[in-house]
Amino acid sequence: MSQLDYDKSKAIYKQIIEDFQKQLIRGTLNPGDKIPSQRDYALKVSVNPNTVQRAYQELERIGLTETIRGQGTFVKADTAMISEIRQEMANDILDRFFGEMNSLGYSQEQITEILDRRLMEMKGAISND
Amino acid sequence: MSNSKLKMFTKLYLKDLHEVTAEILIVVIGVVLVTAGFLLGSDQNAPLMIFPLVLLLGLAGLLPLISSFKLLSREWSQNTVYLVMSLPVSGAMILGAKMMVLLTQYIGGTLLIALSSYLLYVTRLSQYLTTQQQGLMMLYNHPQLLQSMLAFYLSGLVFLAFLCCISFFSQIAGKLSSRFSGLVTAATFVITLILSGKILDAVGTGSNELYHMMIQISGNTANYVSNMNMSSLSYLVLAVILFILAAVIYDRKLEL
Amino acid sequence: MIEFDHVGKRFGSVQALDQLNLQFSPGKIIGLFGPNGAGKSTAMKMIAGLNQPDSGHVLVDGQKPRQSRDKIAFLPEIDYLYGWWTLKQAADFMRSFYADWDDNKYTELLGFLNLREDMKISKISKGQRAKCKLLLTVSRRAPYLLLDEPLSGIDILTREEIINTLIRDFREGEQTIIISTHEINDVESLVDEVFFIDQGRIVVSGSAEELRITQGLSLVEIMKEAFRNVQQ
Repeated sequence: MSQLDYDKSKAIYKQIIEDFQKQLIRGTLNPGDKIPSQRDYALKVSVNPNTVQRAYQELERIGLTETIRGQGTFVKADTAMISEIRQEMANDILDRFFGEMNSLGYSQEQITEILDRRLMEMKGAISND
Repeated sequence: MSNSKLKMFTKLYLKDLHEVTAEILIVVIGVVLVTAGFLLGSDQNAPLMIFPLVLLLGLAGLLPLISSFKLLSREWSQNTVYLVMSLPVSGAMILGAKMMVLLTQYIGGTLLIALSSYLLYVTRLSQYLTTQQQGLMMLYNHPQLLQSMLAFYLSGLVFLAFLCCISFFSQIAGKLSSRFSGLVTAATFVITLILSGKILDAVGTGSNELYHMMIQISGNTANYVSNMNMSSLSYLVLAVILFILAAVIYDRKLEL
Repeated sequence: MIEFDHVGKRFGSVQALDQLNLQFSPGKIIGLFGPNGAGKSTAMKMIAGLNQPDSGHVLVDGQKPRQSRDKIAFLPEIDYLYGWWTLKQAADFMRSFYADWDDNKYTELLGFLNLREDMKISKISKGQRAKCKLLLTVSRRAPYLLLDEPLSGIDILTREEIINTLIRDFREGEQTIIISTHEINDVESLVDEVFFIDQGRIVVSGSAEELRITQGLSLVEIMKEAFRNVQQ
């Protein structure tokens, strides 16, 4: 996440937490890995160290990380937690999806139809490779 | 890390000294040229060198006053006043360092010319006057003469300091007005000079008295010396008052 | 803490500061935002002790600004260094005046900012001069760092270097950095608290993150909103 990637109309510390969660889900970060120090991370993404501190404190509070004195901050989340986060994020996306589709006037049947068709196309595209 | 006042003052002094490099060079190069002139020239031309030396002497006395304007006003025109005014030091130190530079200019310049004059005397002019030894004998036998010369020199120094204090005071007064600073500076300078003259005349040590004293050189030199010292003292007192006023206005009233 | 208590300041016919009230809490990076002529520079200079209020008062840790000059590192927008100085001479000068000068930090940042001590102030580019000014200011461990338009007219790469220098050396909790600028975009992610000033008054203030959460807008957008309202 570079200086340009985050949305400035949303709380930055929350986006830092989200980015961290995404890395866990994707597997770029694994349980036991060491994450950069607050200062290093602040420098990397060009964000105020106080904001980074708030994000790191929150991560620790919800149990995703732990800080060992003298050694650094490490990923504490286990696979169960990660899959829970993954589900939550997916649900958020679905909530937004259904919210937007409804505002466009799509009924539940129409949504099911569109989804089926799209999934077929994707399967076909894969088998054609 | 020690940040003694002396260290800070020295830094200010050196920085301000650099700012008047041009004026210092004018005198130095002038003296060097004239010295080379009479050292390398003929014996006949040597006496003529007195004139440029006198000119240079006048310059050495006048340039510091010009520098006094340059030293202060440049800070504003180059915006370095933002740096100077932010420093954790009093206006007295800021102005004091500049004054020290101006005095250095004066003393350095006049001493250089004195040296050159002595050199001129020793190498080229001795045939016109009594021998060196006789010249020095004169000074040795008449210590009052030396005292008078010293008093005269010191009064010149004090008078320069006095003029420079008026210069500082006027410039700082000028800076109180954002639109008419040049006008206010000029007016303050002239008015302060005239007023000072009047005050000193009233006290009895003004320019009128000085003139009469100079004519009395042949008379009682001891009297002359003490009168000159009294005059210098009063100029010094005025100078100090103006300096303090300038420093106080700088500290409390000047804004950027 | 820096406090402005009903501060008024007039220049000729212009009311630069108008009953200005604010408190800059210590240990944070604070953004003082507003359009040109809003009073930002005037306020900054007042904290640095370079001008005085007509009414009201300014206090820095309970003292008058002019008594607190050794605690304040002020970086004005204009070029305030002697042109004939080299960076080394400038640093040497500063070192003698401020007890909080940190030589290790100076040497470190010299390398970080890609500057050389023999650079002559009048001969280097604008971006390099901006970096030199920053170096000299930040090499002091001053509790208050005031930056007046530190990024204006600076190229993008140098801007990043400057921002990274600030992040790198910021001593959270101990140091207070106040940045005044009209280009909010550059420092969006840098500031903890913001004060939007217009025509000498504070129109919006608060924690940057809280403002983003409650208004769902970036600071740039919040400023546009605030000034649109003021003009009506």
